[in-house]
Amino acid sequence: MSKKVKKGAAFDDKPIAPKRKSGRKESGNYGYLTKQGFQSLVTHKLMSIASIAVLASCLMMIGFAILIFANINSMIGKIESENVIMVFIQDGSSAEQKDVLRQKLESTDKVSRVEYIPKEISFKKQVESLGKDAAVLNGLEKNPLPDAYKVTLKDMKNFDDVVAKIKTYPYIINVRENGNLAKKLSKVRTSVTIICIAIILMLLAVSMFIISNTIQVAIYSRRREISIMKAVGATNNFVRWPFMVEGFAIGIISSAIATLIVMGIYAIFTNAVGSGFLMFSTSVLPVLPFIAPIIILFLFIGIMAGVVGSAVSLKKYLKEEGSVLYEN
Amino acid sequence: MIEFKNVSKVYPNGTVALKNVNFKIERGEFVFIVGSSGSGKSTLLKTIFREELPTKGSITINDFNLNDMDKKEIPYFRRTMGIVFQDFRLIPTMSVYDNVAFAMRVIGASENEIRKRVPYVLSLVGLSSKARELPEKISGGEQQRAALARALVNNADVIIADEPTGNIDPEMSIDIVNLLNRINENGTTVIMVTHEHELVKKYNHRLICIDDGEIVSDIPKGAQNNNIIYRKKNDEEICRQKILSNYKKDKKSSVPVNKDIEKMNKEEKKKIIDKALSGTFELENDYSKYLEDGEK
Repeated sequence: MSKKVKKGAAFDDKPIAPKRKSGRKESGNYGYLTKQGFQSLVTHKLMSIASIAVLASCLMMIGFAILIFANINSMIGKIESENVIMVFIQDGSSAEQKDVLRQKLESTDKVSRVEYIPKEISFKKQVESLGKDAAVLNGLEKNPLPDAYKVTLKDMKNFDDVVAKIKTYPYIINVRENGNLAKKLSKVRTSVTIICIAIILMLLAVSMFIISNTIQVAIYSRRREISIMKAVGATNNFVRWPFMVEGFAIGIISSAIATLIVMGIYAIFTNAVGSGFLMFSTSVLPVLPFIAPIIILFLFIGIMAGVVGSAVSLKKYLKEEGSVLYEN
Repeated sequence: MIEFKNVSKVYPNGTVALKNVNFKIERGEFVFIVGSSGSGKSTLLKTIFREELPTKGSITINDFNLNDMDKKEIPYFRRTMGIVFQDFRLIPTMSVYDNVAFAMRVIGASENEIRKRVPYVLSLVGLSSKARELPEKISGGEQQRAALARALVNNADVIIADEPTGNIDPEMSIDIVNLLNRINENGTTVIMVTHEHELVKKYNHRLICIDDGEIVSDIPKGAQNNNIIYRKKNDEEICRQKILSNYKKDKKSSVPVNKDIEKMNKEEKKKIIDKALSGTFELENDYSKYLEDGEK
């Protein structure tokens, strides 16, 4: 053994550099990095909690906006469904004639339901609605009311066109409708939809902005780690991976928290309403059908925000600020 | 092998950081790079690490041509180098073992390889007993040894140590440089940037001094005692002037001609230099050529 090698006893057994081509082209150890991503959630507790809180709050705002929108929409729908067209049939029309009319009504565009109301039932309702004053009807020799079809439309758009069309049908003496209310409801529904979509989009944009800022702060606080990774020859994908995993985990946790809170509060609210606490009890939508779509939506937004937010913030960091040698 | 050919670097704000830098470092050399802050040393390191591209000239390192290297190649190029920082840059939440293993994981080594290699490298730097400690629990010197282990673990061809002794006490500094020496003896090229003249003198390796973006001296291995080391850009010119004027003053009496210098011993050389420079410069000069100039 040469004198040189003896100088460093620790170097005796093996050469310091085993025969291997340096700068090999393998990608990184992704399994390890994925674990790292999850671990850093715990090691950077404060930053994780901040990110989750921000993301969950944004999701909750979006969730409540959606629920409020759905309920307003359903209330308008209810009011609309009561806005029907009454088609009064000529007295003395035969059963066949009534049938022809019925078929014509049913095949009319936009009509969702046609219900036959015999004059006896109309009269009974009239009597009921007059209550004590029903005595005024006593002088009548026979039922003055005609038979009628109650026509419900799918929506209130083109209400006037539908009415005009129905008026051209045979065996009709009169059509009673409330075109003005229909028009107003249609307008309210359109503006509520536009406002709600705008609010939800705005919330989404604000959330993305806050989330990307939070992630940038988190990444800035770990610039040392990034500079070490770059110095030892990590590819950009490899540097990104643990942060993306972390973003993914933050997305999932935030959406779980937001789902629980939004659905919980909504369930409490519907319960209170259901027990007659509020006037508009019948218009409040039940919780159950919302759970799946809200979970899917929250997961989608949460994961997108976490992963895309991390990727975008890192891209900027990797390109402009990350120095291998000197910390900024 | 590292080769800088006519390398200049001008930053977009107009700062000239490197001016026509030329040098070549062969495989297996140990080189000290000395320069004050703002001398262009940082830019030199940045260009070596392909963090900055030169404005002019070409750089070749470990068979990679840095000028026209694809961006995707950069990480693979960096894997041929190991870097040691003044502030150690260990990840505080990881143990010494994991900090070293981290460098292997980053380049995709299997856990099997890591389990074999990391303990070995830790034993090289004398940290086997501290493998499970967190960086904050060990001394500065030990932290720097851990950082050195991290630089070594992937079999880098070149170790670049950026003021590795800057944050540790003098005794530990000697330790670190001894370790770098041993690494160098095993064939790895070592480039060490430092401020500490004492260390530079003690080891007498090749010395490159950089000032104001220029290389002002490049003293070969073992030649420090026979040369004046110019540390500042104008040193050489000032030195030349002084030697000339002194030589002219007492040409007949004290200053020997070129041939005589070869015969002189170290002490005698030093006397003449001291006289010529009146103590302004620390070390000795390759002054013969100036004496020849003076004779004209």
